[in-house]
Amino acid sequence: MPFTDSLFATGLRMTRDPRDAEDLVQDTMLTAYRFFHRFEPGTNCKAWLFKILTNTFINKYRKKVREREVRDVIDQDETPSLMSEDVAVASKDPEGMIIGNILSDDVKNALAGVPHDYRMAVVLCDLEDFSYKEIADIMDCPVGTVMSRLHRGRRLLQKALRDYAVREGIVKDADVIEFPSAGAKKS
Amino acid sequence: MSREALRCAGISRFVDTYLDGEFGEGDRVEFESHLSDCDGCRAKVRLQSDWKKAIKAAAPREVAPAALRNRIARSIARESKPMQTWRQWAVRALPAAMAVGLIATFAVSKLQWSPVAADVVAKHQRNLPIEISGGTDKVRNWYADKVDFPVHVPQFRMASAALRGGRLASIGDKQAAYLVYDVNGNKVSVFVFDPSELPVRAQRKATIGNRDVYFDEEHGYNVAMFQDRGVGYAIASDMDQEQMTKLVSAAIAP
Repeated sequence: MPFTDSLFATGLRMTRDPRDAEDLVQDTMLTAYRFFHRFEPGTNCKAWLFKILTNTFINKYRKKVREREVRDVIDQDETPSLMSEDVAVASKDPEGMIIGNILSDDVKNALAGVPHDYRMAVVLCDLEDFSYKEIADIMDCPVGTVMSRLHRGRRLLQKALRDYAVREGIVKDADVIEFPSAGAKKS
Repeated sequence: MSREALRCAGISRFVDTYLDGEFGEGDRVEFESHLSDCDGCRAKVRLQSDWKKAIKAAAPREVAPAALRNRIARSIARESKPMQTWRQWAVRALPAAMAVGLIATFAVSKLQWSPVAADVVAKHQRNLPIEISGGTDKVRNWYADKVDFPVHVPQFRMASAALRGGRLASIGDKQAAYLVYDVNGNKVSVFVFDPSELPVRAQRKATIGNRDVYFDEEHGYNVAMFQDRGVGYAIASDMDQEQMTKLVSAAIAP
């Protein structure tokens, strides 16, 4: 069965729970099998499967995951945000330091903190290499919405990763400049 | 805001679009011409490009557990209930095949992958030119001095199947005879090859007319593979599994 790994990885990023992800992928594959006659040959099979994955998630799992996300957000609110100005060393290229030090757990956790629609836009584009048009089809929204979700999702993801880096003492909080202002002050 | 700053502001809104390769040719050229004059924007683009690459590189490689693959294969096998559907159409459409003792038992073999299916589908998708056309005998004779195995041109015992022609092809680095048919307006590709050089196996196995037939799927195309009289066959089409099964049983000699 093609694309099982990709579907599972994305299922995991949607549900953030391995058991839910497994059930979701199994449901997806079974639905795909049942409706295979509706698949238009010559179109992208992976995108078709991802659309089924997305719809199955929305219909069967979203409510459950949302409840869990609400709990998690409450939990997160209780952890104080660290302002560790004393731990980090000043760096000439803080952003480069952050980018060069990203760990897979950081990406996983940072992604998990990005709201669902923004997260999925980033996952589908950056991790699964779909085009805007395909993402629009999978997420059932206009291409313009895909672009804004991607933009926002990436900035949120980067912000979360910057925050980790500050917390881990890789860079100083003061060094970190957010992208929209970076370099735009020319002239 | 100066004109230059305005352009930079405009550019920064489209860094994502540019890096995602979603610009049309004209916009891309204009974008790049600005980048070549503007250090600030170039740095911005490089930074975002680094982020994109780093996130992709660092993202955990999630692999579906083997147990999940097995669960999926089992649930699909349960779903297909081959005996029932098989009998339905066998009774209706293929009494002759029934006489041969036709059984289809979809069994889930180990998740094996054969390069044959991928290559066959890749060629099926393209419109490769035909080198020889004509009747079955003419096509068979044309292959006689070109490949090292006998090319028995399959004759689908269906009114709607017609041989369009054939050409030489390869599967991997092995030679193959490639035959193109028209079945009910669908293009059907049949590859004939030496099975000792190309192992035929796939995720699903069925027994049709006491032969093992392997089914696989590649880019949404179904592929059926089997051996007949010491020669390997791979059939690719965009038909569904059930139609493919009919097609194979119509091709296998009784």
